Amino acid sequence: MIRALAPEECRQAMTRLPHGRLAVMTDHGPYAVPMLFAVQPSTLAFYTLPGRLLSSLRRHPLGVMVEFDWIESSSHWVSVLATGEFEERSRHELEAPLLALFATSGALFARIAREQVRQPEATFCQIMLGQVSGRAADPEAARRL
Amino acid sequence: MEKLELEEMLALLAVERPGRLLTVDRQRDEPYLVPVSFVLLAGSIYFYTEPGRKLTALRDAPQQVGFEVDGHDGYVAWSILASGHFAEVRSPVERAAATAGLLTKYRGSAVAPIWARSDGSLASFVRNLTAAEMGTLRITRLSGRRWR
Repeated sequence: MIRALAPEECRQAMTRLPHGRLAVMTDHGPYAVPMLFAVQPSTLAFYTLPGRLLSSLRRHPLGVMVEFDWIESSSHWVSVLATGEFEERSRHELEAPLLALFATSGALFARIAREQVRQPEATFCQIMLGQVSGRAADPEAARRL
Repeated sequence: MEKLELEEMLALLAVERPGRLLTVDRQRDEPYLVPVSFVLLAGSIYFYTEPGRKLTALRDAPQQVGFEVDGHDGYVAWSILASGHFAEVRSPVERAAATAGLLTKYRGSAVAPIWARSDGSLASFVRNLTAAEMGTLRITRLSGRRWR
């Protein structure tokens, strides 16, 4: 049975599945990359290094989309979509919550992220969440994550 | 970070599931990204879809379609992004080949897509398939990265 998730269930799913995909428009079409997010009540915080993603976010800051999914089987899955607006923030504001996230994200991601986030050119960003929706194939799926 | 070679990307796309279809929602002027079950055949990604926002977006902007796949095994993480143009698969031969590819890829899998499920009867299976549209992304560009 597929059902829609309540907003709070969507937020819980994003918190427990911090590895999502960030999609943004570019001048040549849509672009998406996997991303670790620090989920806050109305924002998703992340960092990025200079490149296509950052330049596209700066050029097209509105209508950014984030996708999270967890698929155990065809009858047990959760999918959450969120749209929002991109904005840059200071290292002072976001470095601590991001490092706290990386500390719980597994050795591989933690090591990569710790190395990158300390680079001087790391840019700290957040998505101001707008519309958030989600679906689950099992009424209990979101709670079991 | 390293760039993935073409052979590595094709090998990962052959086995990985699901992928995320990346489209442009013209009505909202924003990207739209949803997970789908897929198979890679002869340079194209095939998937089933039912009428809705995804199919509308694909039809509205068929030249601006992407496909993202990522994964990790605890030691290596990787990400692949394909882009190209969308087409609806009308040819019975192509549709049959892609369906066979999808069934082979997902046979016995716990994540078999909903269209592959049935009550066990041939009629149910055919009903599921004919109720859905088959789409394909003709890949024109493929890039991938790996982190160790």
